[in-house]
Amino acid sequence: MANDFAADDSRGTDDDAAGRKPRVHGLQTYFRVFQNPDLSRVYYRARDGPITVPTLREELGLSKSSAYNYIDELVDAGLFVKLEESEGATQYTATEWTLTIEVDGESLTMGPLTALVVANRTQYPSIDRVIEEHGLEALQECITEARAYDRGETTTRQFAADTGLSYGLAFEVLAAIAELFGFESAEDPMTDTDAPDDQVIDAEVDLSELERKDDPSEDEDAGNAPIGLMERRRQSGGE
Amino acid sequence: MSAGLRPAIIIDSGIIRGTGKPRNNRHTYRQIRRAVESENQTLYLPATMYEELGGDPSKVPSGTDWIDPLIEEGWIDIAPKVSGDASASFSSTTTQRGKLRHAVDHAIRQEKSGDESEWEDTAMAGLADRVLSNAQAARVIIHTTDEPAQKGINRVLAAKWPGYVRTYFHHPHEPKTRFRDPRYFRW
Repeated sequence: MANDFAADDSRGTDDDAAGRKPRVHGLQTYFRVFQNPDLSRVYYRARDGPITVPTLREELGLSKSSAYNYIDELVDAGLFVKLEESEGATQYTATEWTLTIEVDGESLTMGPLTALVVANRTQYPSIDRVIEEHGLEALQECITEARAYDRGETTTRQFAADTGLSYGLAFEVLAAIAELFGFESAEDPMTDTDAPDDQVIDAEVDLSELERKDDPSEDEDAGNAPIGLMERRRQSGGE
Repeated sequence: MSAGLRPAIIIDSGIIRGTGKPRNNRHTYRQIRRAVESENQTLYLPATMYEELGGDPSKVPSGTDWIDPLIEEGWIDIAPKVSGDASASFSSTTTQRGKLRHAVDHAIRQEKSGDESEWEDTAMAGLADRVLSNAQAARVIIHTTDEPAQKGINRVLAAKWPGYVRTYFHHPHEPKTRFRDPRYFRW
């Protein structure tokens, strides 16, 4: 890969060194992004567009001094770049990065999304459980599938099947990721006007075969029974 | 609101899972209960989803800490099993409700990638169909945490019950804040 470089690679030429501005001066901030939920959120927020100290205070509820500290740290680490001022406040933009770990010939590449989720493992026990019991690779699979879920391409049960987690744990970790990434759904419902007029779903299913008729023989209930089991019991004077 | 348009409200087990166990989320459930009761409503789960939450529909409440405390408070209830055979198919099924559930299953699968069965989700559509067929309520509102299910259920119910059903999709973490607003329990 063109952008690949390895710390132990002594074959790097002087040309490379001269042509490239040094960017990585230390690893501590990279690790801290995986550990500190606020630092991670600051970085994650900046990926959506330039941020200022007032935006961080307003949107993330950080104190002024914390906002300055996190920005300074990210700038020092090369993860934030300073832009020009806007309305009296300095703007910063995020630099994309990934971190690759190679163990025994297998590599794991992690970026800001994984960092945000890992940094919140204490707040969300399900995240901690996935990491402890299934590893970071499984957590990354959850993040990939959670994004498919956000696009409406998968269901909670499919998410569990695709990640190989139990349904309970899968659901919890999906909810955690959805909350951390700020997934939002429409506040309004779908109605008949949102449905296609086409009665044919596929080769087997033609909706016109569903007749709207009262067929008491197949109704599990008498028409005037309450809907719920507890309601029925209360009505019949049980308990 | 006109009493004639009073809806029955059906929820997915994902709404409960996403909100958490009642004992750890008392305040949240108190707020949701207030919104539900302000509309004079009850939330219904299909029997199969009660099973999914660890309950036994033949004996409600049966001791699952996911939902029984809410059932005992009287604002959430379980509806009896909806008929339909998952192992049959749309064309081999003779009952209307079984057919409807298979149609929903096909419609959901068309919306998503992967082969995992979504039969549990079809129970919400089957229950809606039963409620409307039996005139147990004049309208139905469904809340689910699966967007393909929202689309699949909506597509099939809109064909059979046009104008009678509204279907909401929520991400798992959304109901705990959204459901403080009674508008989600009103037609």
